[in-house]
Amino acid sequence: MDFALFDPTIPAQPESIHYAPRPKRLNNLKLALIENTKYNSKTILLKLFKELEDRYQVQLAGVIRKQSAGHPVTAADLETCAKTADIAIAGIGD
Amino acid sequence: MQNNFTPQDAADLIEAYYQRGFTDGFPVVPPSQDSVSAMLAAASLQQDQVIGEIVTRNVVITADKVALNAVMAGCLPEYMPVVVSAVRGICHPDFNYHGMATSTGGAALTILVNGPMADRIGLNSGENLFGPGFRANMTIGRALRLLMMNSLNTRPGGLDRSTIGTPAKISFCFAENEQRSPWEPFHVERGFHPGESTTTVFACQDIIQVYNQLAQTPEPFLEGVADAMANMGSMNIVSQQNLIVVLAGEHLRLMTKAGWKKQQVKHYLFDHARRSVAELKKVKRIPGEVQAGDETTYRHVVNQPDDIVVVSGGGDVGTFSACLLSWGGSRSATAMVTTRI
Repeated sequence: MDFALFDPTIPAQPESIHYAPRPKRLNNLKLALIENTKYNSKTILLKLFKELEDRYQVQLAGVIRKQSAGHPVTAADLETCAKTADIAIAGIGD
Repeated sequence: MQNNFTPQDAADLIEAYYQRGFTDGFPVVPPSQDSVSAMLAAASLQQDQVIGEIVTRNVVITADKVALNAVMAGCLPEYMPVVVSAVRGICHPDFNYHGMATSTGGAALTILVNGPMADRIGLNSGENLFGPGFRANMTIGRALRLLMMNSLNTRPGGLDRSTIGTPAKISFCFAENEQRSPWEPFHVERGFHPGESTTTVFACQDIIQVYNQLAQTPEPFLEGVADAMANMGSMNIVSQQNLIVVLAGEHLRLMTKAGWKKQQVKHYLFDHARRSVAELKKVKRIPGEVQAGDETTYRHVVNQPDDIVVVSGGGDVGTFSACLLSWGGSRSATAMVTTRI
């Protein structure tokens, strides 16, 4: 007797991502930091900022704190980020 | 449906599912078109009907995949409305599916069932509450885990990165013992009618049994519960999310005898399940050196008493209750069980 094998998988929907244009130079750009709430995430991000500030006079536009490491950045935070910053760094840390 | 093939016997068919990686390590029940259709019919669903979406995984969950996994788990068709309700729960943003399912924390997906549906389908709410031997409990919990693994790609080594995990990840479903409780059922607290049925999904990091056979009043027993809630190694003590306390028969009678209301229990546990900032700093659960005032500044296990879910469950006899501590970044989510039965 023939039996059918059923496939329980669901493929993830492909999504095209458009990257923001990369700046040619970092000098005097405004930087947003996105920290994921894990220990040392903010510490590492602020150290990076300090380094960028020293080398390229980058200014800190703001620090966005996610709800938790497992949550995505909210649309409102992304909008703020786009309005106030030229570049952003997301940190993980643990 | 995949390809047709001719197995030599039932074991050969089951083995085919093993070969394709569609199991949790136990044999699955091979589905047929009839068994999947019966599952869909029991919940009045069309096969391509959307049950929910895990936005952070970019995955849309359709009824046919839920039905398939439910059959494979060994569910009866009448369990399907409960399975579907729990799937809706895990899609709630507060539950944070991607976080709880992927984290090294290795949380179990817990399904708490309330309302008349629990009795109707034979869900256990009594003795051996978290143990084996009850088809509805075991297979509904397993259906969700199989869906996570097969359909949401939450597989060990892939998008499930548990460092240790827990056997409760295989299946963890139970009902509140509403008949025994002197208090309103949990789903009524959440705004549902007593005649409605619900599932509440909860990301359980730890199950701790609390034993006390000598307490004659609520307070000494609840001290033990509070201590379990505030254990220094838990995620809860830092993340302060939510947790479930299951009071079994003898401990519940202790509360009733003293005339305690559920809210009183919650407030007592909230007040006593805490650690000083100094204690937490000394064991490096929060960063920093101990400062003046840290010895007398307290951090509670949750932010408010209502973050402690108190339910009745377990055997009538025996002086054991249980604390279910939560995975760090998830809140429980309750969804209605929709049925035409």
